[in-house]
Amino acid sequence: MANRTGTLEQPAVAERRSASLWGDAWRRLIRNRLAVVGGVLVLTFFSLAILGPFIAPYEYQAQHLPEILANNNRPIPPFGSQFLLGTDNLGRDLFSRLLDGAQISMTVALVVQAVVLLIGLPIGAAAAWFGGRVDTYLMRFTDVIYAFPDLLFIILLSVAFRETFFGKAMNGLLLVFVAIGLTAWVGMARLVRGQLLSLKETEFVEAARAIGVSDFRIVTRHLLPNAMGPMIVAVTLGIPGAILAEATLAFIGIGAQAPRASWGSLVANGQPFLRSAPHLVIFPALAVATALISFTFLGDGLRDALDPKLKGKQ
Amino acid sequence: MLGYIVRRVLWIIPVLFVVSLITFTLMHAAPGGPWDREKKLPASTIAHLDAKYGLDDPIHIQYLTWVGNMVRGDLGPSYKYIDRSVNDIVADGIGTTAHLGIMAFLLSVIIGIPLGVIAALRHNGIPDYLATFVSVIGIATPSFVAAILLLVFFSVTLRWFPTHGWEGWAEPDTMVLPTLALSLFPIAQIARFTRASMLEVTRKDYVRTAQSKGLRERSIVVVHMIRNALIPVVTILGPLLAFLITGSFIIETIFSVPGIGRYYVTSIGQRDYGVIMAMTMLYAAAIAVLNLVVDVLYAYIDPRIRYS
Amino acid sequence: MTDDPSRVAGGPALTDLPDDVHVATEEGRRLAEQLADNRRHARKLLEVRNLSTYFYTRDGVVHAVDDVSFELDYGETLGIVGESGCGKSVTALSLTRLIASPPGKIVSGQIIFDGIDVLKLSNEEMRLLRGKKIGFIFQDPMTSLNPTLTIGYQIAESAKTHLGLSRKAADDRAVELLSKVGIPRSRERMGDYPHQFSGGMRQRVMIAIALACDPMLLLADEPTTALDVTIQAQILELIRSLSDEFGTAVILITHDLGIAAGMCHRINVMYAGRIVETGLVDDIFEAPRMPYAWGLLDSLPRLDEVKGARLRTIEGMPPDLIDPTAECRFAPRCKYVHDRCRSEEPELTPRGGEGHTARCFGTEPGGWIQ
Repeated sequence: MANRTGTLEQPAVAERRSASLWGDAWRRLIRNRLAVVGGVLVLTFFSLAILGPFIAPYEYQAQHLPEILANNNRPIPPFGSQFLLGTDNLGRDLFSRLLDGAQISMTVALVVQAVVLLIGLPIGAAAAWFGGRVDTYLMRFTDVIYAFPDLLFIILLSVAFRETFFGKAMNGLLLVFVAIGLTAWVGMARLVRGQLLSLKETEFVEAARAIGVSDFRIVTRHLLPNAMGPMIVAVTLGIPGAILAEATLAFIGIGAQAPRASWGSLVANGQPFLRSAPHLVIFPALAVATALISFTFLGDGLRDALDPKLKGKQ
Repeated sequence: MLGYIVRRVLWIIPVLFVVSLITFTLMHAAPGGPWDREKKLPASTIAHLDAKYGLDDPIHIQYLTWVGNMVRGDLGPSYKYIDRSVNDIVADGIGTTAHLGIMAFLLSVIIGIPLGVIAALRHNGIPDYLATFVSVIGIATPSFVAAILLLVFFSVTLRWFPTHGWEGWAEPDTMVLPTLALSLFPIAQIARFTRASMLEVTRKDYVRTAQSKGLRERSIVVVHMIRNALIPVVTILGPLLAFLITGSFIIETIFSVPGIGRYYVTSIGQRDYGVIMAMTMLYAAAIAVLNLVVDVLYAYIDPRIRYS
Repeated sequence: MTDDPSRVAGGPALTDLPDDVHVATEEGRRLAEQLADNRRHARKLLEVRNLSTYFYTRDGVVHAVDDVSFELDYGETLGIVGESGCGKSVTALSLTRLIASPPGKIVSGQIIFDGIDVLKLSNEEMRLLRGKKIGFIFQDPMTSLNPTLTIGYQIAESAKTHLGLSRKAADDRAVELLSKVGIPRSRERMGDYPHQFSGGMRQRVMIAIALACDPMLLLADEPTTALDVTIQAQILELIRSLSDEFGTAVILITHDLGIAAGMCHRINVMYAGRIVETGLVDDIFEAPRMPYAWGLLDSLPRLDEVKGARLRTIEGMPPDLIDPTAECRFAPRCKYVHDRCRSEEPELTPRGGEGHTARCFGTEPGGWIQ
């Protein structure tokens, strides 16, 4: 063996960028083209929804009957006139109505997920944290809700109460939000419970308890932030379901009442004119499709970006 | 395992009871009754009808009566279709609805899984883009939009298929469009999920072991990869079956398929209590049983899962 | 076209020796041994020449294995030793062409296995070679076994595919192999799944799988790294005894010099994709001639240590393998570095013992290290 004399060389330490969880996730998200497209579209939808009333060329319920009469009592086709996307048979500007529909859909998306979080998160957290009997009863409760055929339950609620005060609020929208939310929270509750259960057994929780941190603080400050990733993904991926549910309900006449222009009701209204004036169905259908796709891609991208097990994509 | 199945089955029964209770309460909590018409009937007629059908009894009596009848298999009379009992209505339609659901499920699996597998095996190739394209269309298109587009295009314009009805295998033409419309979304979901699962499996160490053994490509793909990839796919079958069950009523409405689904919305609007209860119970029972089947299947194909 | 690849390449097949020559007479036996001996010295089991495997990533071209050459005799055990990331696993995977092809690629070199030019084989021919002539044991037995198939099936699979055995015959062979690798009640355990075994037992199953077709070469990539120390010794002993019994050559890849010392005839020390020293195991351990090898040996804790002394490490980190420059790759971490080391990369030059070469200017005759 040689003698070890002489000074040690200063080792070359490789430079590393900051490796925070969120920073890494953000970088991965940006590199996912589909997710970026989805994200941009989502932002566009929200902007249109918020700015809708200001940028709509006409009022969504305004009927321009003279123009209809001038057109042989037929809906005005798109791209030919002052009405950007044409009108329906009552002379209502389709573009303005689509904007109203955007507002409805985006509101549905947010409010339903808010309800889902409001109910699902505490239930899931309580079940995980307290365990034992509390867990059993809460999970049995969620089983019952889960057993309900959800669309049917929503219809039941919506139709049953549509004549009431609650049902008439916000043109019938409030009822729809609550109804959809009431059936959708089960997934979130299970997710939160699952996440917290696995985190509960970790040592840092034991340590926090030993120091005397209150239960509530442990859950809110330590456990939930770690479960945030999957929760964000679940919320994002749950939005297409909510939008779809609202559109389906509107299609069969439940939910947002006339003259509000939910995309689903636009499709329903346009159905009789499908051959003569297809734009009345095509554009609302495209709007729904784009909304669904954008949230789905964004949600997929978030899931891939936040999943620590995923090896880097080339 | 058998113990698990028995426990699950036993658990379904109280759950269904609670479901029935909640439905019953909501139904009756809503204003209005089965005799409401555009033109109001005279009060005496309403009172007479109520008495005849026991609708003037206290709520809990009505519920218990209903339960008592139900366990004996009697679902009560329909208030809308006076000459038919709910049993008749259900018997007429349930076969068709079940048939539609099964066909849609089979189609989804038969197209969805191979689509996902091939897309993953030819990752970033043409089949992958094709499968992704189909999947995107499937998740972006609500079933009612798909239904009316298919209806107008293939039925009205091209006249390839009839516009309404369902005669089962007697007239297979009638089955095509409704099944297609209903299965579009499940095909897309299954394909996407299978593809993602296969891609993950491709990176697994045991696939490398299989390659190092010099096995034939087909063995590696079928025996080692697909088998493992399908395990997570089974987990989404539960929600998809629920989707097929609850979503079928829209398809039935648009294509005038004589199942029980098309009664749903109308019966709620008309406060036809018997039909509402029966339908809710049937759908809830179907979902519960199918979820159980899926869970058992999952344990069957993954040897690491053994329910105690 | 037969499916024995050695015929495709024009070399003699191992099955050329007639069976009856062995048993008939004393003379016959001597003849057979002499023939075998001739073959052994006429040709090596494995000749690797200038093998380079690169990975093309978005950050650049990673020179995972760079111009590596070595040989392996029939029945010999060779150790490839080095830190994580030095290219030892990639070398082994390259030998069986299991490199994932984007992003990896065997860019140059020659691999001659039993007289066959491996890099020139078609995919199908290569497939026939794997499993049958070359067995592979991977590092993590937990993830390397298919969780949804019984271990009996996974062992019998190779035998069925390559030896054309019927299901029953293949199963019987699997039972036999399971006993050989030390799993008790082997017939009963054929129907068990991987998760029902402990780590050490799973690795024994992996060994059984690798040896199912009686291969000529066994590649063992860190076979004991994922196991408890007590089990490690058992598994290594198992590999050694089976390779002795069947005359299988072994390439043992490890970062643990102690393991290599116990098992191998010869050792290649790898660093940053290059072989930096190679020789008989005794030469490497008693007279290593490359600072990295010293560092490795030095870092082993010893029984006669002063209690409480610090563990000795090699300062610094392994280099980035992307686009290496023309210098000795160990230079940034070397205590004996001189200017020449930073401007020129040393070649492997002889150091005395049989086949002992090292890649270091300092230890060459006339160099500055004694």
